[in-house]
Amino acid sequence: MADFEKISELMQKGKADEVKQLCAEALEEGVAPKDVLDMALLAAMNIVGVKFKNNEVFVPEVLIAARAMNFGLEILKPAMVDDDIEEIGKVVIGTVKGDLHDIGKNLVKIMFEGKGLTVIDLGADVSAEKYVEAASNENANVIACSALLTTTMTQMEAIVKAAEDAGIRDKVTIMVGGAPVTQKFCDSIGADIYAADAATASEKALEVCTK
Amino acid sequence: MNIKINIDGDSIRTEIGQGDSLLEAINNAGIEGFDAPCGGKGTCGKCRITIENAETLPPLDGAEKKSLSEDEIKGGVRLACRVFPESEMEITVSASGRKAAIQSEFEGAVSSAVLDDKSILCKLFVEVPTPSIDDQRSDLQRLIDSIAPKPIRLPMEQIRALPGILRENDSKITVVSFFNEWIAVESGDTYEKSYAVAVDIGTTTVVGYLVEISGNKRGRIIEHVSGLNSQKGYGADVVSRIEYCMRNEGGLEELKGRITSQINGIIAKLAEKAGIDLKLINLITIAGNTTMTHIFSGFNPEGIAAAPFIPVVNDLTASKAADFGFELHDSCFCVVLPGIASYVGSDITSGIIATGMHESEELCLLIDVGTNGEIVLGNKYGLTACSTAAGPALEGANISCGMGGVPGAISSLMAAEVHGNEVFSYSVIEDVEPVGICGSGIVDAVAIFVKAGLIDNTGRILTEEELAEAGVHKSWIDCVVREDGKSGIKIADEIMLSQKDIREIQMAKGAIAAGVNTLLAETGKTSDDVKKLYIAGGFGAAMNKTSAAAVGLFPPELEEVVEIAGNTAGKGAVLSALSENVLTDMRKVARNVKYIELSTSVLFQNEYMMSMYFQS
Repeated sequence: MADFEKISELMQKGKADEVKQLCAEALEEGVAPKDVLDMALLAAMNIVGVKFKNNEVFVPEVLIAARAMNFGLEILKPAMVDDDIEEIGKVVIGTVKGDLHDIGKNLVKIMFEGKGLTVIDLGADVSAEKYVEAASNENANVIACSALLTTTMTQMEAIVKAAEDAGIRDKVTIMVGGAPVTQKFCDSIGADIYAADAATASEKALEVCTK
Repeated sequence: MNIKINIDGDSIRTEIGQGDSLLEAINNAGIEGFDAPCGGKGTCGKCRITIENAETLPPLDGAEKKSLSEDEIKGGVRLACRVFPESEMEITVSASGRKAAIQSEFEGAVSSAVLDDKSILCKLFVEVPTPSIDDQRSDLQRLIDSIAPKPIRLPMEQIRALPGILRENDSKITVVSFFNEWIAVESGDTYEKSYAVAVDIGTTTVVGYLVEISGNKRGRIIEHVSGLNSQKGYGADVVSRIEYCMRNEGGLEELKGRITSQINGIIAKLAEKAGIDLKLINLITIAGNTTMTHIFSGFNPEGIAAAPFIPVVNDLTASKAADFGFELHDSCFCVVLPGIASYVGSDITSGIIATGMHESEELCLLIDVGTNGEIVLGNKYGLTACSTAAGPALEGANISCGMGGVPGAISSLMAAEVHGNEVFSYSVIEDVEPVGICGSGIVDAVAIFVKAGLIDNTGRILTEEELAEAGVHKSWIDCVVREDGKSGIKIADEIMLSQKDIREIQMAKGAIAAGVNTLLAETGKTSDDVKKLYIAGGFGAAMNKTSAAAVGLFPPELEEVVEIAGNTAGKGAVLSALSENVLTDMRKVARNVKYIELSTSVLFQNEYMMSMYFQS
């Protein structure tokens, strides 16, 4: 029987090759790929997320754990049948126009993926129109936007406005975050959710998608 | 409405309008050294004031509830930026920042090459022939003929002043040239007496140096005067200042007014201390980061704030001092020195010139540690520069018990032999009871705790069980505290380094180390090739280089070649006031430095992640 606990532990430590190997062994033993995903990889990412929120682990550890998760996914994905891939929800994510800070946004993306959400990553320096276009093409549940500068976070208001103009405002939840962003700012621009950290962002996004 | 502000036994009254915060009142009143690092967003919790007297107390804001303890709230402590008075109010503020030690010293004397050269501001004493019925040449023509064949181009107001100046002193006058053009006249012989003020506008501090630029004491630095940047109440970092300019009508003019009047004050104080007439100051040179020089020049800094990061100007700008808003005479001129990019300004070009790395045969590295860590690598064969967002942690901001390098700050820690309970000792600025810890102390603390094994290489504070298992001495283990699931390491009563603080330091040091590694990789060099590491700026002067190497602020093998260079921006501004060649070199350097944008560099992102670790 596959040792989910062990895969989880190795993934948390970022042992990519070993995670990959154990995932392959689990499949050979006949374990359902979806079970390995949920009970080992996603479970591990959840633990990392909580530890990150509590400052017990830091950015590099999250990234190396994510790398290990991707090594595992390489094995699991091809083995999954369509039924396994249930779409929980879709999130369009990016750093706002004028802002090139990538790391925080990538952490949030990792946590979203850790919750099993489908993530469309638009990268950094993303215009309001681009967010809205992607959200409406992909029929996304959530637009998540990040800003690290007080001078660029004003772009978030433009995103809310662009979603209204495109007529998708009632279909999409707009989530904002980043160092200078606050709940107050979120309220003032008419966005829906403010998340203070990556783990909270993923919990709130999951809530939106499963509601 | 009227707000009475008590400070250090004085009190100042100021008027504010409906909807203005107490922070605006404090800024209006021109109080220097009041800390408001986040610029009034309610996020930093540092702009604490005490309300002494108020008819109506405005309600507590969410940010105040978060930042202030119950005892503080009971005692009337509030955040200045969150209180919007409805009626008259009396408050007490403390401006401990006013006592900050400012790095104004720099290394190395002025070289003979600089002294032998001439300044861009030159003077020539002329005895213009007195007119007569036989010599009816005009005033201007007699002057032109006296200094021929040199061309002269006097502006209108100088021509207007000419007859008075000629008659005042028996036609003995001094002509002033600026950038090789004779463009001003002064009464009498002032040739031997000419001074420049070289200014370094830092985001946090401003320093002015009074330098003799003519006569036999040319090159002598007579006095310097420094102070905290008077824009400090508008936010600690450049982005907050730019934001203020963007969000408020007249904001740029307001901030420009602040810095100009501060420099006016510094110049007046320099002249007073040296006992010279303000009229003898003919030149002002200005070095600073690009945002500071933009605001000073009245150039819109908005393009600096967001990608693609475009400044209005990088090259030097020069004009009459009055055009920059100085209250000085008509033959005083001002030069804002050339910078490289939006985040590598003339403070760094000045640093390159001051250290002489642009003329060095050996590979040199220059690091200026501030909120932005600017890094330059190179020698006479070429220079490469970048800027990393180190954040303010190394200056004590964003650290739970952090503070600037002011009295009461723990400024250094030393590990002791383990005996009894003492595992380390510390020293406090001015030897008083410690109230916090400043950047140099924080770096020492992290270095010591990593070495003692309390912090692992990922930056995590180990649990007591893990420490006991690893055989760490009990006295060390006793330093580790845990409250509400949050861990920290105790340094003194009420002073500790929290897990979050360590994360802040990891990001700061990681950013600088990653910047260094990126420059090395981009230029195909290794740290072994670097023969000199200049560390500039206030934090650089205060820090212990062994601790800095141990935490990994720079590659540890470079500790041997570290040279603490002091205020290189100030020194570069002084040199450029003295020598036209220096200024020409500086322009050449500014144009030719290869600037590397790190925010889009994949190499940097990877280095950044790896550089957050500690070596243990």
